[in-house]
Amino acid sequence: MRTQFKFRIGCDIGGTFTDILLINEETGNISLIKRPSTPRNPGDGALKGIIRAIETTHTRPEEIDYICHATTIATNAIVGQVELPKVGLITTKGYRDLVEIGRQIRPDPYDLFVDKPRPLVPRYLRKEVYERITSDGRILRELNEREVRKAVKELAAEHVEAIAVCTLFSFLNSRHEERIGEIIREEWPEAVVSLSHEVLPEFREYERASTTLINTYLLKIVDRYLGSLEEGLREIGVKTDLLIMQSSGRTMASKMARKKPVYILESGPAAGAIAAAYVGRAIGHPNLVSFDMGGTTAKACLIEEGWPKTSTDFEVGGKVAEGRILRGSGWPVKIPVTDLVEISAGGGSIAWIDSGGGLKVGPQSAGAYPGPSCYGEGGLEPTVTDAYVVLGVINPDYFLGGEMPIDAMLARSAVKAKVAGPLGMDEVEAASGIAEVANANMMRALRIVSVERGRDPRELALMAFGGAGPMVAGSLMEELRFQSVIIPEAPGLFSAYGLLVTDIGHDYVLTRVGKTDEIDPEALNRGYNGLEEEGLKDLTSEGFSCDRMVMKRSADMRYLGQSFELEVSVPIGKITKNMLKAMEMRFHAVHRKRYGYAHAKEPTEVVNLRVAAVGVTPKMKLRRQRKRRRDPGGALKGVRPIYFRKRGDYVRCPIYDRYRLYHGNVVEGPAVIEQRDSTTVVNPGCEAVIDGYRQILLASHA
Amino acid sequence: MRVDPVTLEVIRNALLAAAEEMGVGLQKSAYSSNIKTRLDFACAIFDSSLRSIVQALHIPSMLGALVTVVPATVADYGAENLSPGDGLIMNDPHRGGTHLPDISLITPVFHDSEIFCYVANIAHHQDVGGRSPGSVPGDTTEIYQEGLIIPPVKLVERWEVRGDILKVLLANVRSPRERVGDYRAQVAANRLGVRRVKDLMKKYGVEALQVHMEELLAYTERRMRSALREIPEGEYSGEDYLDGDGVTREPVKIVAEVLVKGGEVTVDLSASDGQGPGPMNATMASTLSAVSYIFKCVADPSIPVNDGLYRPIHIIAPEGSVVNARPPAAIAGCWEVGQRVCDTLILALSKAVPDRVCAAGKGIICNISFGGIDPRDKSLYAFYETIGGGYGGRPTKDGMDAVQYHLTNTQNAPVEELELRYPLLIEGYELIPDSEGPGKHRGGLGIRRDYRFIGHTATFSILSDRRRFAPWGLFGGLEARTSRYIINIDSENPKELWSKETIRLNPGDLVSVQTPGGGGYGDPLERDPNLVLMDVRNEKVSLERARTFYGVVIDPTFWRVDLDSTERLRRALSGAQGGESS
Repeated sequence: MRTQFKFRIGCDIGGTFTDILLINEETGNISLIKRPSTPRNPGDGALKGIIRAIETTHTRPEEIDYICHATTIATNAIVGQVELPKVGLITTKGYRDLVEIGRQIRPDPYDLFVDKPRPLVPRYLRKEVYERITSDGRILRELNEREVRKAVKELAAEHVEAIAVCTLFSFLNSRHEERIGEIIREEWPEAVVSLSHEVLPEFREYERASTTLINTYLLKIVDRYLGSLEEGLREIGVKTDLLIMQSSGRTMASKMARKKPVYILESGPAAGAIAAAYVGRAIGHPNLVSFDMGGTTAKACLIEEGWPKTSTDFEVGGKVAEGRILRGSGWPVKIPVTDLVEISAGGGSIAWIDSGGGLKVGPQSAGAYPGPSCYGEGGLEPTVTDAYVVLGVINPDYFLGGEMPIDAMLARSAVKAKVAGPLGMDEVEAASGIAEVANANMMRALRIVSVERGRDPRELALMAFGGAGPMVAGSLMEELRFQSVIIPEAPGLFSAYGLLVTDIGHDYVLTRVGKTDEIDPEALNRGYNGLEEEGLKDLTSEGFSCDRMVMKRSADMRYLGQSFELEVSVPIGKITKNMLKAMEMRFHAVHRKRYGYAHAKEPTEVVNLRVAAVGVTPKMKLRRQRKRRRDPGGALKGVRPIYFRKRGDYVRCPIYDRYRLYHGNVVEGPAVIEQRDSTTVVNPGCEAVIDGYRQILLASHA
Repeated sequence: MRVDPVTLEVIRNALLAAAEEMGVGLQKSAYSSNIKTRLDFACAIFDSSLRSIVQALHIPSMLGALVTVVPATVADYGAENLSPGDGLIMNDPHRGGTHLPDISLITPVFHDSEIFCYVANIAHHQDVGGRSPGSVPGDTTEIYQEGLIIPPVKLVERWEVRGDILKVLLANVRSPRERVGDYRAQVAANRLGVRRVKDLMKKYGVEALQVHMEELLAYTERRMRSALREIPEGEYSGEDYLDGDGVTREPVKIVAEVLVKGGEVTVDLSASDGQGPGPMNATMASTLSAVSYIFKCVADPSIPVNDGLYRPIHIIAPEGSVVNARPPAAIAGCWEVGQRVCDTLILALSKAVPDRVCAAGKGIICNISFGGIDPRDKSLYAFYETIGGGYGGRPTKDGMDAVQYHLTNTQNAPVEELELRYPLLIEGYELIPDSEGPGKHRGGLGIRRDYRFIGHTATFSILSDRRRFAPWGLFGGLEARTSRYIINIDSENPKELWSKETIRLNPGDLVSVQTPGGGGYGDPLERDPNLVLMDVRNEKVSLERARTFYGVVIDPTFWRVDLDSTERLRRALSGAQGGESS
């Protein structure tokens, strides 16, 4: 892999739009192509977009050094937007219903009409075979191969296309699963096979089975999708390997993703947090909260010491209420997923009055169509965007740089009819109320990732982006007392930027349970070595030499007898009794940091071994501008009345053109800074400073 | 002072965030897995008149807990005896509590020298002593056997935990070191709550906060009343039974007479049986949980929980009855009683709002606990879990298979986790075919979990129900299979157990716990034959049962419904049925 890149492409397929970002690192030129997504054939949309980006910039395809893609294909397939193959399951006798019972909880205990997610495989395609391995890895009952052959024949007769195998304790002894895999291949070579100990050699049978099944479902779909995209890129002359964004925020080669498709489930959402973390590291803000607010949702993520955290508590197809996962609403997938909080609150969120006379915003959204009332596409419900039009923040003549006409009268009448009238207010008061209530929702999300995790906002910056983020960030900063707000140069494309600034990486896990003071260090050494060998093999196949590989070890540990774990980092090298002691100390420290206390004398146990194998990719450099004078006068483009709740009235407000603001300029609030893809509000009592990277830094004078 | 809906919504969010943050803090730093992974706790803010302003809770059984405990505890101790940073603890079922493991901690928030409000939390500790590990024994006859009773006492004084009291608490429990973690977590949660409330007092001013808090109660009350007004006015009654009181096998009757009128409801439980000699007794707090849970579900699940929610709900539960037991009644089974109160209320409401209720589901908590000496390292072990079952059929769809029911929503223990830790082999964990109550929308299937005890003798306890009285169906839907508890089901001499037992097991013994299915909703002869076909194909319903109960004839070779035969059979069956009933 080269150490210096010339052209980078990021391609992010979202629900409404497909964004293609092309950056020329030599000149610093950035071009963005935005195309409507083509849900029926997403790969085609992506390819056409990439071709257009290459053509409009007159780039030679062979000069492209880096191309990374975030795709929703995997999630869409699982939630039913793509036809899934017929899959069968083979499991231990007595455990056929494992994937249907799940964790036996209702996703919402107060809703008598709630449902559990449907079982991933219908009962008649789940087969049991006689075999049993015990918790010490011993074979208690030998596999009955005749039963396996019979099960395979029955599944074949049902025309299943793929078979998942998950037997108890296969993470300790994989012999039976392997043998079942062999028999399937003998009996029925066409079938795609996924063995649970290969997909996720981790304990807890329901979660392992669920992860394995999701992987099985995706194998063919993702293979076909990425295969044709790779081929398309080759045909137009792109030489570099396609990279795919994973849920963890790292990428992997497309050919690898085709083998481990479960890892690309949450491919898109993490990109914004990755971009924020990268910029944060580059400009000396390693601790921050990234805040991405778009049309329908807002996402917040805590970034510490330069990196977002990941968690393995993810459920695909799961529902979220006010930023919290409704446990049991989806199918668990135990892969590392960037730990972000998402709430249904964006520019398109609808304001309404409930039966008790309360003003609510969301979770319903006007979506892309009809969209907010002011779009004039027939939407009659007042949205957050409509409110900001009424308040004068959004310039009707310069929405998306003027490409999207906005009708302020429609915004006004929707706010009047649905909110102001029923509450007996005027429409300005009502619009300001809508903005305020929407902010209260965002604050819940921001609190969850900061104060609830024991982090003080005063020590954190808030990096705000997405179309709507810069509009509200200043008020959120004041309310929650964030240290400052950072608004990147192009807030609307910032998420896609995340695709261009991350490393390749693979995550591996293996369960080895044992008391920390009793466990055999050799067992751990074998475990870690095995995982690292896998990492070495995978990274080598992706073209990395050893000097560009980093192996990061960690272990999930817990107090003996508890049923939840904490991840503790583990140094590279041979594990000894002494090192186990050090791991235990480290666990107490992590526990104290996370929960505020530790039981230093309590025995602990090691549960899972983890290795993250990272292939370091050359990063872009941020370009620094030279400092100019303080006066932003050159960027002044006009004055218009804007309503500020603090002042209780409209204030004549200077409007600045972001493209003519330079390093060192200081804009005193109240003011508004406009750019094509976003509008930044500088509240009274705040100031905006343009830094050397053309970012806006908002701070409060208070 | 004017209350505007915007500030109200902002303050509501801020107060709820404060209570939720307390909850997250508690969950994170607690030691008990009931708190940590089962979310068996609640956090709340109460005003100076001891009315709940905001509550953060996950598990329905906590709905009636703090609202009963907090006023009772403060009244008992005397608000005038409290100073900033004090914390009262309490778990006494006969002074406003639920069962003994649920321990509350209440801290006043002062403005100048006056109490402005209280923050409180309640959490299920893994053990509070008593005759069995886990403190949910199945055979107690008085509360003293169930564990340590804590009357309202000051555990925390100016944020210092009082060592002498703590010593008493810890001397009475099985794993004192872990309990310290739980107490510490409870104190930390209240400390956080006080800080957040003080922030809000500073930000909005005490007077404004007070006014908006008052309005929040009125707002919830308005919503609750308007939701209750959608239930047709009238008197509706329901009656159901528990298998026995835990000592005798005499059925225990629960009767609910529900009067819906003018946006209010009165639930009269007076015709229920008197309190029993065993642990199957409820307290007022647990009964309130059951009643308010059902009305929250049926009226509008999205209404925020505060004092306003309970205002239009009136409960008549005579002291000394099974739903409001007097001291020294044992109450370890109070949630089993609570589940039956839920069933009874749903039955009553089915006559008022048939489209908003479900048929009876498993109807039990199904407390399973066991322990012994682990032959691998000779250590003493104890384990407790509850098992899901069928959910009742619903007006528009089937009941869920294999889930938790009404007041509880506890996760199962993964089999691999269980076997790694205890000397057990779970020989099977599966759905029970044909356990559903047939209906147009059938009930869910029950669960079978088979425990084999390896190389040691063990004590095994069941505190459960629905062994005798099956979950019922609605509107022509039929009842489900009852629960069963069987020892050595794989041998020549299997032995059936009662729903409340504590027994000794020999090495190698197998206990099969089989939970009930859910009742059906609507006439099974009206069930879509294709759904019956899928059930048969999935071996959830047998071919035979498809014929007898659903009148559906299926060709198992080509997996097709024989439409002609089905029509004939259904006609014949409905004729026979009609003849019987008319």
